[in-house]
Amino acid sequence: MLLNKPPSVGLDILRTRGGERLYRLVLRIAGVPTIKAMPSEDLVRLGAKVGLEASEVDQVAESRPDVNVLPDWLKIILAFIVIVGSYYLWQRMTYLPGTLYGALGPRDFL
Amino acid sequence: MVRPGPGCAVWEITLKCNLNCMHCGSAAGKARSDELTTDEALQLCDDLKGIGCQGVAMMGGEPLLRKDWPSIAERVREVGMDLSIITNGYKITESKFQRILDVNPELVTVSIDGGHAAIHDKIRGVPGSFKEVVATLRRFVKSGLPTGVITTVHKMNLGELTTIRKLLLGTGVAWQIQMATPYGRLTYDHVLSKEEYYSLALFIAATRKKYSKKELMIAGAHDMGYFSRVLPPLQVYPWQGCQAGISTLGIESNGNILGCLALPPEYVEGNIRERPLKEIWNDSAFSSYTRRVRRTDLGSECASCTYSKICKGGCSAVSHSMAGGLHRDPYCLRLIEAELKKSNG
Repeated sequence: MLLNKPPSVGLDILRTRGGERLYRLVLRIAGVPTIKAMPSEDLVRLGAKVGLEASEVDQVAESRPDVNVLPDWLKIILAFIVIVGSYYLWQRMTYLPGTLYGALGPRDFL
Repeated sequence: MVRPGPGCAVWEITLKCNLNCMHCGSAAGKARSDELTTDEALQLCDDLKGIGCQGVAMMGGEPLLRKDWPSIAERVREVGMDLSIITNGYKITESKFQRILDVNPELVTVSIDGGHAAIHDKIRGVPGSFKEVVATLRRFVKSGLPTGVITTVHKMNLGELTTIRKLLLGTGVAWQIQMATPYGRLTYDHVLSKEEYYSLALFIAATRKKYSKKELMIAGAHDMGYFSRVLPPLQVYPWQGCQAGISTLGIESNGNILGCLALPPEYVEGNIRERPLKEIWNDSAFSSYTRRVRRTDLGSECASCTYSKICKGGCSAVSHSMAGGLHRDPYCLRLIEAELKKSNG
């Protein structure tokens, strides 16, 4: 299972810099297989505690791409995206607007 | 060294409050005996602008109980900072409502902690408060003011989330959900267990997935994270570590300064009556616990995490209260997932 495998640092950086969608899209296009990071029954049980239906939980707890089986060409492309993207986003995000405690408004979702 | 100013200063303008919430982190009720005078508060607005602060979140206690709140709010706007007002929505008279409209804040936020009057009123300690806050929310929305809702979750209202969701659907408000931490009046026995915390995260993630932003804007607050292997990000902006003293600043009603108002009194690092705000903010020792985090400062679980350099051990307030030290926040989705996996063999 993914939880017991060593993490892929380069790809994780892409995710933390706001590239979650891009990351998933690239991996999906490349046909990288997915695995469940947590058993569905556990998630359904936890969701039921707050009144979520099983279908709602299933929708959100997607299978994760198995980053341990990436083809080499994809690793090179992703490494490039990580380096260029991180530099760009670092310039943009070194300064943050705040924790938004009490200041989270509709405009933050635009 | 001159630092960039905070994106947002969270300012408790008074500790006075007309509710008696069981989870209030500052145990608000009576005003502090030494609260800033009007002149001092107005000067502080100028000083905040002077350090490059971009916005002020005015809160309490109940900020609208301070008689000179409109003057402070107007000064915040005059000097060119964004203004948000966090109110409990209780006893908002027509004249107060009009004053809010006159001030025209970037955001007004009310707190809703239950989907039913029985729960909300019990948590808030005053019968009738639910009815009033819902009416206030509707007035804000109807007036066209950008409106937010904060729900602080603990054991008593974990089961209320779907009902609150129904209440907020289609209203156009931004809904921020945070976990209650055991400061002020909240006792440890009401704090969510880690599993319950995970359920809360699931709720936020599932709601974000199920509804469009037009239907409901929802996000986890600073204490809802981090770097789950299963769930998508819960916050609006990617988590970059605790921002206390970096892009946020806490101000108590007597002029005490700390990195974040969610932290307990031992984190107070100065008072504007004794030292200019500019000096406190630019002091290299200020908020060193977030500004200069070393790997050796991290708890063992956090130090071995892939995201340690970015995350720096989660929310300082949660970490301090639930783990007895900083940079080891045990309410971490990634950590909980690993623990659940382990317990399931």
